[in-house]
Amino acid sequence: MIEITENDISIEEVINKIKHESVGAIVTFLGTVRGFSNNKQVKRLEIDAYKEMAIEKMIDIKEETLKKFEVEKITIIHRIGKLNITENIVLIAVAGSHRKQAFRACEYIINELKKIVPIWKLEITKNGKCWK
Amino acid sequence: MGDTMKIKIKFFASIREIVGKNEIEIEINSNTKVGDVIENLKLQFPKLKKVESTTIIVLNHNIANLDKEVKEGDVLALFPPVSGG
Repeated sequence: MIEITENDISIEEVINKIKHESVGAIVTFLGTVRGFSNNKQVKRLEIDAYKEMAIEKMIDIKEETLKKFEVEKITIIHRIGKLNITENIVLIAVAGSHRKQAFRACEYIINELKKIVPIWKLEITKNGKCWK
Repeated sequence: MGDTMKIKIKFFASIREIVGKNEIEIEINSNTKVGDVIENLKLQFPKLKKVESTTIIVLNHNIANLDKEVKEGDVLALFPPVSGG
């Protein structure tokens, strides 16, 4: 599943959807809003995306990952909109038969996402706003 | 014969703030290249020149080749380096 949403992400729901009799390991990465950035206190994030292109690139990353690693199912969900501190930003869940490939695939996905998916974070601090 | 065509240009994040618009539609001559469109944008929005070196230009969801000719219905997008995840 690949999704961009303004709604919060249910980790339990995502995991339940990718469980399967052939799956022995599910590895997840959850990105959350940190309260500090460059020694400044962050009040909230505003996340913007070029949605159509972001979905396309997330699908590309998923397809590449399925080819590179022995894993079975991949879910990538990224939020957009206004997020407060500690809120969920992105969830990646990878299901595979064994953990080694699932861990590697999950790390690969988040690294690729950060390089190529057109999503941006606007940090709101007491000193103003700054695009990361 | 001077055919014209319409393309859309989308702006995101800090580029959107500089330009002050989410999106524009422009009418241009056929045989116009991506690079020509960008030069015209810099004339229309001079503040874009300051961020030129870090602005990513995308044509139909892929990194644009400035020498490529645009076609009717193409979508260009300009944005800063991505920061998702």
